[in-house]
Amino acid sequence: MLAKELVAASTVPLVLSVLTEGETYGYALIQRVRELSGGKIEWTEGMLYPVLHWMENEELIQSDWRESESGRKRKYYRLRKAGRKALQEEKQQWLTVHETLAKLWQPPHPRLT
Amino acid sequence: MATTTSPFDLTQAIQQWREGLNASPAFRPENLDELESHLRDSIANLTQPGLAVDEAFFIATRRVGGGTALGAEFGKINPRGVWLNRALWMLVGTQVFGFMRSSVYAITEGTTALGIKPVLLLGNTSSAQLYAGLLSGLVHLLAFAVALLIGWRFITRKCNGISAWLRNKPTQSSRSAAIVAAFLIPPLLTTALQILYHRLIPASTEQPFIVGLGYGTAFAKIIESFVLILLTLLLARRQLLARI
Repeated sequence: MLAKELVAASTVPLVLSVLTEGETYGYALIQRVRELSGGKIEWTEGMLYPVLHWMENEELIQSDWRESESGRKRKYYRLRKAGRKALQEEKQQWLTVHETLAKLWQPPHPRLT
Repeated sequence: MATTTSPFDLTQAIQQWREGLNASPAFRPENLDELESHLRDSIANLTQPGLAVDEAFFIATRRVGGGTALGAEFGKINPRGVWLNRALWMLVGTQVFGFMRSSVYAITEGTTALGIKPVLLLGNTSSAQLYAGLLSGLVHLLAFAVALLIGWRFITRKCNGISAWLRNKPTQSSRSAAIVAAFLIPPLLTTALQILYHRLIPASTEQPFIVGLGYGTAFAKIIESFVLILLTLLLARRQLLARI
């Protein structure tokens, strides 16, 4: 399980990244993140929607209601140009953190790597 | 084994869950549509491996999250709804307070007018003034305390009833009637009390009554303000504690 603060900070980059795979709806988005993280990233599912709406207001993503194969209506989200740009920035920042920590945690003896 | 429980009605359960969330102004109908769509997807997914519908519903609602936590987050993206709701309650509060205040004044002036009459007959203006002041101050505070107590009991005892009434979507006409009553009663009451005290107090003996009442009311108002400040601080503290 991830710390609460880290879950909150990683929601936007996770959403943006999942949406690069194509448009999707909230439930499927959550399932995708759960699957990719091996169940380690667990959201309070309803909390995703205010984030999605905020991202929509910021014009990072856009949405529309459409009928799904099952006949029920679902709200589908997809990336916008500003979202792709924001993702590049997020990526840069997360990679910086990741690389720095990775270097620090690298075992001193090459044989161990 | 005989079972007494009726079969689980998913549509009704979802409707009830939705109404529970709808009680908060933080959700717009579209938000609820989306959450319901999510809940239905979740339930469909959980029943696939063979979970009973009622169990799936229970787990799915747990995973979506509780109304309070969700309301707090949705409130951040729908501040307009939240503030409109607050403004409505502030206005209602103003009207209720106005009504309470008019009642307290009516009772105070009426009682003082009645009480001062025998003293006025003695002819001593200054003692009549003092008497009117003491009497009005005392009655004012007493009436204020009773009004607070009634208000408090009403809120703590009847809050379920009020919530249920609001949840059951009062008809437009009953809502309008309540609003009109709230706005009309205070001025009507004030007018009534003006007529009442002009009748009780003859113009020639008005002076000690007005002066005494003025002092008594001013004194009572100071105490009243302190009590209201204290009450506000207590409620604010309680709300802060509830949030931790």
